[in-house]
Amino acid sequence: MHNLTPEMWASAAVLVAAYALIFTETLHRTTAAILGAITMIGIGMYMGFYSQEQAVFAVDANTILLLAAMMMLVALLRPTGAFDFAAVHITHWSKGNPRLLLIYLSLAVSLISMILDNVTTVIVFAPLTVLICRLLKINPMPYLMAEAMLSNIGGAATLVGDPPNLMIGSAGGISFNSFLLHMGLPVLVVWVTSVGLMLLLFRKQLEQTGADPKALVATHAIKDPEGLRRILFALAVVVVLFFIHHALHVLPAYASFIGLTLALLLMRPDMEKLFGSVNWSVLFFFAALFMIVGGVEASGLLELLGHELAKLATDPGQLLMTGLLLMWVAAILSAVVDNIPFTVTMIPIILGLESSGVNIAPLWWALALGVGLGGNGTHIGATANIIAVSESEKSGMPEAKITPLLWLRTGLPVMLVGLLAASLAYWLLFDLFLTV
Amino acid sequence: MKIKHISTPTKVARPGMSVGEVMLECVEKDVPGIPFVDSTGQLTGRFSVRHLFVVCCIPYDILHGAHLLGDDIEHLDFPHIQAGELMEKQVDEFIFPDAIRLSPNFQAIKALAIMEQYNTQYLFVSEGEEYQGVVTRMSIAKAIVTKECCKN
Repeated sequence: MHNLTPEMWASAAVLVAAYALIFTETLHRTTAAILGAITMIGIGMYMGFYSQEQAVFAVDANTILLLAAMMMLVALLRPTGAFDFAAVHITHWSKGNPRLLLIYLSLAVSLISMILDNVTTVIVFAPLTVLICRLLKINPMPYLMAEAMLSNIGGAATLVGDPPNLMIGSAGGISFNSFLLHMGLPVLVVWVTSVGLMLLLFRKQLEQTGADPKALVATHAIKDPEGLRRILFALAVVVVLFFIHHALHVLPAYASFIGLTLALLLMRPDMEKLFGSVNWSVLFFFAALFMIVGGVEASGLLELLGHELAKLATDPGQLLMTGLLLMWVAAILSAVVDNIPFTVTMIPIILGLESSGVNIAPLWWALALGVGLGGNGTHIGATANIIAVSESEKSGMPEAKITPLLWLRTGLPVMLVGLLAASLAYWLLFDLFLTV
Repeated sequence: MKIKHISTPTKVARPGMSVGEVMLECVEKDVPGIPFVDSTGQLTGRFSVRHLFVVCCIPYDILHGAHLLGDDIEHLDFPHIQAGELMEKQVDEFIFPDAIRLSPNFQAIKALAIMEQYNTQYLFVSEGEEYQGVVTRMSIAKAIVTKECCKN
């Protein structure tokens, strides 16, 4: 790389330093990212390769606003008791059969994670799961792990299911329908494989018969029936708009804000409380990352990297291999570090490949599959996993405790088998992945 | 109405005392908690009956899903740590590090406002390092009902 300029070195140094602070957790990740962003802008302005205006434009507003809107919709849905109601009925349907309960809970969490944020889904479902297991006198550990892993898998299927997908979709101009069409089948294959594998790996824990599920009652589950009807209506409007947003030429963020506005008008919530429920720390983390990577992009480093990679990817025969390599590298990195910084960095590199004549469509799908499935490998691979671990500790049941080693023993096989299944689907359906 | 007239004198919890001893004092004096005085004689915390229940008897998931529990859940019968075993434990590990202390000359209305501010049912009354008693919402209510408040 003899073309490296001092600007490229400087931007790379800021990026590496910021990511080191994020990954080592020396500082809170949002603090580290904001520090990285202001340093990048300062150095960029001094060296003349990056400006404040460029930094503002580097932030993907579609991603940030969509996440904010969905966080508020979830905050309006949660107190109505809808999740409690669903959890009680799932328990009743399972009739105390531990295997059925695992399948039903996993399915519910996966489906909800396809539309709502999977971290929120696990935050809501994890304490309910411990309660269900306590009442059924069964070990909650397999259920907590399955919920976290399958929410990660479910979220990978849609444009709005996981923040990396949103970033990829926004950068690649991919519609909600196209995302579901391309990712749906591989994710379904991975889902079935993963549930089957978990039933096998947890066979001992799932042998014990559960007590009478009637110990749980849904009589008082719904706390605000009118509010629930209204928020479900608003959410239904959002989902319908997601399916047709491309035809209407509206961004997913705009679609979500239509639903949010509807919910605000119908429910008239306490706005201070509602805005307090938005996870601003996450949103600012994402915005700061966009600014950091924007600086590296402005320095020309990512374009240079893209040219190097293009030599490999321009050969159509090598495109499948490049995609598979990207998927596995993304997955392995996502298992050990936060997948968001990796995704934010990869996006401009992939976009840069397009100018070199590479068909980047298969790379978007490979990246989405890799970062979506990689998080299952370790207990720190995804935020949902950390929530499951924390909930297992809070339960006070020694048999429920999820140790890092226990996670590795189950999560790693689930990740590897899932990746193999996804790679197989990617290879067999490669023609489908050649378009967005 | 000054709180020195309506506070309830109690014993204090000390290092090495059993939970049972301290609980008995709370029950006998009808107060939600008593101060904890460390080995140097400093008032450094408090024993709270509510805190003990939350820590030892109500798992987090039950706390959040209480409205979903049916009536026939005998295996969750109180408490999940055996009561006898709990009463024998040393009180030291159940001490809450904050203890709000008020001067005996505080007005009751100020005590009520501080209780609201800190979401607590009771406050300790002390003159310097000398502990005098516990003032609770109910002791203020009692003073009002019995017209005790009008005498001072």
